[in-house]
Amino acid sequence: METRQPLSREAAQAAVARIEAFREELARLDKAGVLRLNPEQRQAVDQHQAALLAQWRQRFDVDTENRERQLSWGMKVASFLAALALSAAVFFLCYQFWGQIPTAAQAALLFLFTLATSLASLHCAAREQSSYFAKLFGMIACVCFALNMSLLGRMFNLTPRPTVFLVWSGFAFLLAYACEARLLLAVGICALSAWLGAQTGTFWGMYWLGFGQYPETFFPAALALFGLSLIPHYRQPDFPPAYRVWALLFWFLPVLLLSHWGEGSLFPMSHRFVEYLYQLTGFASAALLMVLGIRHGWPETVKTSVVFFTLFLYTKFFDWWWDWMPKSLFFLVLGLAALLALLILRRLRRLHPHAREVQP
Amino acid sequence: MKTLSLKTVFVCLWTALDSFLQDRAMFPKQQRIRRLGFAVLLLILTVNTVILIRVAWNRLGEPEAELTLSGREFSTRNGLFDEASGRFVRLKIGKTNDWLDAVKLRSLGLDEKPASAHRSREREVLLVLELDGPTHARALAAQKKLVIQAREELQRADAVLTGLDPEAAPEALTQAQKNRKRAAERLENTERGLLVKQNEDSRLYLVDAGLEVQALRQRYPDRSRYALVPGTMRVWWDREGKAHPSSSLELRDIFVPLRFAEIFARIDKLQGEEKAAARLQLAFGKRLEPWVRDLQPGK
Repeated sequence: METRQPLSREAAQAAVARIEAFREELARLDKAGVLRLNPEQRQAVDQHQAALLAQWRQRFDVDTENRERQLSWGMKVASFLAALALSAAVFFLCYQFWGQIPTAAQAALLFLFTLATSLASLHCAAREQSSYFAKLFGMIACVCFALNMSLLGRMFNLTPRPTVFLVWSGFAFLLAYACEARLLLAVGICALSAWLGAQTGTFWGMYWLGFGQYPETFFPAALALFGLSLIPHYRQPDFPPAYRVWALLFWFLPVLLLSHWGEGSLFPMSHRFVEYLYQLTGFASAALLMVLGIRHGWPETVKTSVVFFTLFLYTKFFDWWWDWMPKSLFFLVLGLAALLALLILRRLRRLHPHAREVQP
Repeated sequence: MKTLSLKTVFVCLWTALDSFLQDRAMFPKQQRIRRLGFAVLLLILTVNTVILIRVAWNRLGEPEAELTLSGREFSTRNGLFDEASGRFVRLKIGKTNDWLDAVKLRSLGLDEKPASAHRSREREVLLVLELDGPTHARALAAQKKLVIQAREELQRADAVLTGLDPEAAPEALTQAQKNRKRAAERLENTERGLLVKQNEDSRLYLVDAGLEVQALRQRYPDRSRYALVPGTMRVWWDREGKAHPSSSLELRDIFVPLRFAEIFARIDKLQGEEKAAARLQLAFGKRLEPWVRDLQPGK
């Protein structure tokens, strides 16, 4: 049987979890007398798995013990905080001493800061297995690149253009794929969405900086990000879920806002009609995406859709009943609605051929 | 048949993309990072080069316009924290909207009210800045006219007061004195307003807007008095359907290079007539982006 080697740290870590689960289940079956391997078989399995774990530890720096996992989690938090703090340090350093440096030196320093931090990030990405320092330098490089464009624009009095968002997103995406960092991917996604929003605003006849006033300008970004999530990512299996979550946020948040604020719509319809339309859209799209998420095995899609479906439902309850219903009764109705949802979902689960009865 | 063939094409393309991505994923990590690294470095280099070329192109040859502003037309501003964060000048622009009529809005494509109420339209336009031109002269003349009217009113109030019968009712006397006092205050205010307008107020005004540089330059050929700057024009309609236009510059703060730091610091401390004596030479390039050519503290 052909075994496929994992291509990313996440895939290797998932494989480690499967081996651990297999060992635990084998021990349980052995204890129950259901399956007992003979010493040769046990030795062969142990040797095979030990070799795989050693190979993955060396190649991907995976965590094979609980203690390692806890320390890794701590390292992630420390790396994130260090990235934020150092990025802020670079930002304030530039603004603290900028006025005391000649123009040519300013331009050169901006270029060198960006170049140095990008090279540091790429160097660490190539050397490290777990990419903590690569991600840290990558975050600082993103800030330096943004400062590079922004400060050059201020120094030379350039007219601001939305293209800077596109350029910044391209830079962030390249570093994100090099370092396999979701934080950098998030920066790229936000910058790309801002550019798409600005282009949509311009298409609708407004000045590009005003796109943030109209929630509908974020819909093209939602569609584009969802499309990107469908592209196979063999090296970065955690990127498609990130694309989907952002896509859903850029979809549901504007829909939620417009379902209560019809004046913010770009369409030439009455405010009430817009609000009803978006309320319907919110419910329908949340339900559809829940089904899609279940069918394709996208847990983040299901969870996000459930959260927003609940938000839509509760905001409707608030609109209908908050003013005239006693508060205790209002929250009782909310609780009963949640129970009803629980019963419906349990019923749907039972309809699955391999479902078991859930014991409270 | 046509739908099936489209589906087949899509499936083939998707399979090809999937297989391409699988092959790329099998590349060794170092090779993959090297390729992405080249792309990153190329992007950094390209962005900086494009910006510097754009700046050089803007400043190449004769400026599109060159204005010499006095201390009345600009204020000094520091960067994010203090002067060490950078030095900027902000233009003080007097606004007159009498040129913003329905014809102008139609020429800019901003005359159509959106279907919903409380909506606005906004677009990028070229704004015309006028320095010490007819608009400022009209503003001065209007203020002088107010002074003349105030003087005449005071003369009338004086005449009424002196012409009053000493035996007249006390109320009439009090009223006449009040009127005289009010007239005197009005004269004082208008005269002060005239002095401010003559010596302190900015002589820089937004006087027109358009979409094409050439058309605007033909209308305003004096490059030492008129500068074209990128800006935005916004129109919003109230519930009665009345249009309220407004305009603003895209660039508010203009960077002052380090070589003018000492002079900038001196001007920053000046006020009143001393500040008004300062001189700022502002050039506008081919892309209508400005830069500071010279800065002098004046006397």
